[in-house]
Amino acid sequence: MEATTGSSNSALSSLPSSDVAHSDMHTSDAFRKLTAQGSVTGYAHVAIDFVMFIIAAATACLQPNITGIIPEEQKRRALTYVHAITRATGREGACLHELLFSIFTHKMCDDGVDLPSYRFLALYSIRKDGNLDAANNITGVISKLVYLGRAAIYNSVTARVNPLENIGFFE
Amino acid sequence: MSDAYDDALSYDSHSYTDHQPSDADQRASRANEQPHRPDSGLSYADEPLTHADEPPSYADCEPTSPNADPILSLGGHDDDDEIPQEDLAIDQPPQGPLPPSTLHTTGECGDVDGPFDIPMIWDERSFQDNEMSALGIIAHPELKILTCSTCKHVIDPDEIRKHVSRHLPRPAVDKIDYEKLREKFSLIPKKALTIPGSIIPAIPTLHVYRNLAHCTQCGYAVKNPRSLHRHTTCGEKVRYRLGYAQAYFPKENHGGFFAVTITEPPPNPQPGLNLLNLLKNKYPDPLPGQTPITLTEHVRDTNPFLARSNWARIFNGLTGQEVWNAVRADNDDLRGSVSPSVKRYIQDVNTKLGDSGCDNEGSAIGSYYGFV
Repeated sequence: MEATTGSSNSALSSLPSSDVAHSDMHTSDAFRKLTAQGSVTGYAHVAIDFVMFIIAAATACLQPNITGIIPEEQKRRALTYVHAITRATGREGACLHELLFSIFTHKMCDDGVDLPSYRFLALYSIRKDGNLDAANNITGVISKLVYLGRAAIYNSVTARVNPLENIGFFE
Repeated sequence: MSDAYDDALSYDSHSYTDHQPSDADQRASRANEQPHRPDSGLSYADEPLTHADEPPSYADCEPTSPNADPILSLGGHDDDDEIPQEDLAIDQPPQGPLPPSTLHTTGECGDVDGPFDIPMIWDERSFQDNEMSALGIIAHPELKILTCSTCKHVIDPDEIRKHVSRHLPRPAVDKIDYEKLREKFSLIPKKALTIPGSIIPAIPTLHVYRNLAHCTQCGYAVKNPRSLHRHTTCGEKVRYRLGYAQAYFPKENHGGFFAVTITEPPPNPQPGLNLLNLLKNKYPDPLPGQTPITLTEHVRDTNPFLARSNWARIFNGLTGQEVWNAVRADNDDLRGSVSPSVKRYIQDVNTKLGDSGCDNEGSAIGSYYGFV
């Protein structure tokens, strides 16, 4: 099945598409909903909490019994990102992308617990009174984290396919 | 004396079969017109007539004094037998004001309330150790039974494992030595289980039913007072009264009700406080958010989702407030710097996707299947 012809700016338009991409007539509606400003704000809210959690874990602001053991690579990228935003080096976006990309491409541990995204999800599902949050709220957090991960992957793909349009994403 | 009893009871029996509101009203009015007959033989109390539709309370069924308790008895009629014509030919209804219990029995069984729960009051008759607490079962050594605190009925000794497996995961179920449990409390098999034989204090955890007619001697209780005819253990004439009753097993499977007494709950010291406020006053500290989340093993109230996901390992020993602060730190200067870059990052992706004009990228980040 051929890919839908879109804008020439689309990096993925030149890539072979999957059948799933064309299988649903409601795709465009869902996509509009996804990219609505309200949704983006909601997704960004969880993403900010997530990034803050990673930074707190990397800078040892939180105890390891809360954050788990964060991999050295992610710790280094988190510190680089903090350095970038505090010094205003202009590479905040690139550093954030590298941090997220390293998080979401990290291989899951055997027990599946010490992965920062997994641990964040577990902690984020606890309410202030100590009870577990409602299932639909947890599902919402999962979808936002998955969205953030896919956005990181998408940025990597577009940057690699068309590096001239994404100068600064990779050193 | 006995004739008066029979007259009165045959009249009551008649009212069971042909009960109609108008009849009851007529009887009430006639009774009020008639002077009290001291030799009627019935210990009817000189209490004012109460309305049958009055909301039930704890004090409705349990008389405050034995003298005021209306004790009725039944003749030897069977349900299917026709009531002899001579019994129906009553010159006069029972004299004096009708007792409150008569109002309760104007319906065949429609006045029965329940099941409902009573406050769990421990006494020396109940026993539960840590192992049994984890299983949610309570032993009653005097009665030689086990009850399930969740299902509110007695557990068949031969099927304890099968029963607790409904509520607990397999590892917890397999840890218990059920044979030892049976021997420890000398549990009576389900088929051999009989009613206590007297009116006993209510058994904790079992459901309670209200307005059941029970034999004053052995405590055998039924919903329909006429069914007491079948109860021949205590002689020809069964004296009964209405009150609380319990059953070992769910009523749909087993009808063996037995009468119990319930201690009336203490009056509310501060009128106007509801149950929630009372609990808050009783357990002021610690606040829920300050209670450490403890990793429990094989405890019946553990969230099954947590048991499967193993998430409890992550926040074991933390309080809800600590967890909340860890992942939702708002008062951080760094957050003010992080927020714009993260928002820009996400907005950037959406802008790229919006400019592309095709849905492939939407699928790439999860918009298909309504993943929003």
